[in-house]
Amino acid sequence: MPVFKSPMGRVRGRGSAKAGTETFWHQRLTALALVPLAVTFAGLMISLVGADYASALRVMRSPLVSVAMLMFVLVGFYHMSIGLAHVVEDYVHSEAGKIFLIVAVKLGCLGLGLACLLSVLKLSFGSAL
Amino acid sequence: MVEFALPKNSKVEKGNLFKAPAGTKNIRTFHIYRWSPDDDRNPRLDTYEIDTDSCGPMVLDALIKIKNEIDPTLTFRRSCREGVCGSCAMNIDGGNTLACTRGMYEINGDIKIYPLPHLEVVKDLVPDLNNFYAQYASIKPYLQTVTPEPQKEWLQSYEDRQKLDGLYECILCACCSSSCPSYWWNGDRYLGPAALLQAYRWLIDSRDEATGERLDDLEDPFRLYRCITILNCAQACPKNLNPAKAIAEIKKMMVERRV
Repeated sequence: MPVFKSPMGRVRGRGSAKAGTETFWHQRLTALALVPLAVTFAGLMISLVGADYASALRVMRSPLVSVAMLMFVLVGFYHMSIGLAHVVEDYVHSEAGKIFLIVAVKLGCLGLGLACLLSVLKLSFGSAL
Repeated sequence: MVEFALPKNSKVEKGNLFKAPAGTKNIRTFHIYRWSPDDDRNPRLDTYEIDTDSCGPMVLDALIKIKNEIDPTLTFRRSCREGVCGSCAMNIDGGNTLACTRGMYEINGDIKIYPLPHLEVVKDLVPDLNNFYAQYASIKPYLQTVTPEPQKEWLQSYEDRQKLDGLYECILCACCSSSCPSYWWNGDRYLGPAALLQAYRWLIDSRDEATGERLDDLEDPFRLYRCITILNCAQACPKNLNPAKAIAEIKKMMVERRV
């Protein structure tokens, strides 16, 4: 079918969504926050290499460590959901596929993030051993 | 989905060989993309051997020599031959640039020339730039004011005029936009580095009074935020401009008007 829409008509399309700045700003903020949080997480994991469960639990129960790990999980999964949704928007061009994948990414990150949060909370508040 | 392989009818085949006359001392070999809408053939890569002793030093000189003396069917755009008009933008030796400002001596070995990537081809080295020009027009590249026009002129300080340096020099050759993967995948919705560089040129013009409306029009996940600053645009620009920086400045303006 021939398309008679003018180039300008196609470019103007449905107009500006007047959105995107918040996502961009959150992506940058979470990226910045992840620098110290990821370093803390990696340092913690390395320091626990070879430790038995009881001593690992003792470290994880420290309020500072718990809060750092909760922040790492929250910020990390939020950052991941923004990044993966961006990849989908870049590469998937069928509207149905795009919406399905974006929903899958958001729900998947939410589910995985909640599972990690629960794990950290269980270590922090759960009964000893 | 995004396509990583060429469709069957776009696969580039081996083309014709135009040998230099016997006895030619200094030869440069050109492999040039050829495609015509007038037949049903696939694109092909024709090979031309050029006598550099009877040719100017630039790639455009060789293309003109081919068209004048060897193969008049070769189709390409050219006009000013001095890097001002932007007509002869093409992909030379793997990078987008202007044929008129690219010296043959800057390239080692055979010289491969293709049209600007990921744009529809009109013929041979001529890409369809209708969408590109519409994107430029859509950012309203002219002064917009509410204040009644002064009798004499709109005044601008020396310092404010300096802010336009590095932006106004753009010649709209499309080297940057067609080097950008975000533009390749979403060129119908993402405005691309060239249009956004010009959008920024008007956003920071101290005389313009439509900054808010301009920002409103750009604030879109696709029009602006497809850019992830990989800097292909700055690397490709034959005028040494930096569209990525201009786009980053637009994003900064977007955030600043919110926080």
